[in-house]
Amino acid sequence: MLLLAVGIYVRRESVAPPVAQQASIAVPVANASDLDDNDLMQEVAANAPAMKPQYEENLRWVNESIRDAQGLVDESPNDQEARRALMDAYQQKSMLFEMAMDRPLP
Amino acid sequence: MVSKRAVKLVAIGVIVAGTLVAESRKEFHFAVGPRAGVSVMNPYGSISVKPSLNNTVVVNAILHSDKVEVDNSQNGNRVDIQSHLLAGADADSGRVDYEVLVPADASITLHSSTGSLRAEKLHGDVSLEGAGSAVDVRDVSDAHVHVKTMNGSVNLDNIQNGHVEVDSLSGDVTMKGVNGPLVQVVSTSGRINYFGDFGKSGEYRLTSHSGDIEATIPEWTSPDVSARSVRGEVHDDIPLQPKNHTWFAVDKGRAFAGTMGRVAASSTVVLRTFSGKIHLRKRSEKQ
Repeated sequence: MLLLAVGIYVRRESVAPPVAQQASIAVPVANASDLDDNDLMQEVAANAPAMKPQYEENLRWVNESIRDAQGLVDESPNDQEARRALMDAYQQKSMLFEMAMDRPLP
Repeated sequence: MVSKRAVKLVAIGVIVAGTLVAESRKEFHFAVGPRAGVSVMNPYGSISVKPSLNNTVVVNAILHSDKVEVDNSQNGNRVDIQSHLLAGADADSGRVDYEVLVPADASITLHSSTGSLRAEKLHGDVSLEGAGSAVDVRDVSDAHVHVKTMNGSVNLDNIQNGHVEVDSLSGDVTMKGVNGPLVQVVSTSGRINYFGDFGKSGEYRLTSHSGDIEATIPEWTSPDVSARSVRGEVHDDIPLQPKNHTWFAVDKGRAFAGTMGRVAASSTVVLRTFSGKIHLRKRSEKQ
């Protein structure tokens, strides 16, 4: 009986804990105001200073949309609409980066 | 003694002459085969594309100063045009305005940071990108239309049987008579206006995070419509046959879903915004 109890105890300790169910789409962690944004604005300031206010404004809007969408995903991880909205928001930010980096060089 | 009027006339003449000397025109011709590819990269200035009468690409460029030159090349059936900025160029001196004629079945790629981007009467793929450019595409059929802008407005008119994708961060998007197997608009804060009938079939997805979405459609069309605004309001002027099952809770005032008309649903229409308003309006007259 003692050996059986030890065996059960050892088996229980060796079983890995169950993995929590994740949302079916992996979503990158939102980091709306990290160093990349500063690098982006430095790039714009150096190459297209006249458009800096427009880039700042659009960057603020897109970061806000990412925060809002992330909030929805946090509330309802299985809401496909919320996850799609977050993906759209990141795609919009990615597009902003592409436009800012694609600068004409003399 | 020279009169003041004469001095003024001479001064005006010198200024005009200086402008004419600085501005120059270039013209290029390229013979191409069916389904040619034409690309115009122009940091500053407008680009307009229309169909040519034969298998020739004609490029007319107006250079606003001698601080920019036009690089051009042809590799087989592909023509590449690029405005090459020289040292000291800025948005004014580096400006080039293009008028391009291409065979109607050519695929075009236009890129400009400022200035308008226009394309009309084509049935090859159309890709337009410009941070602050106003985009206008009209009378295009059986083709892919891709548009990307930061805050430039987007106007699509009479795009038939098209695969349309528009990404505009804050520019307003207006569509009149735009139909096809896929029509997708994603915006962060721009407004989206659709005037049409959503075609006989296809998937239409209009999304703006904080911009308003308005669709004006005739009452005789029969799409399957779902609309949802997380924080904003939704209004529906057209009675819908409600759907029994949806992905989301149909909270009155925040969402609606259903089918227009009594015939089987044709297209699928999805309207989504986080904090903007959604309005489905009825256009009563029949086309």
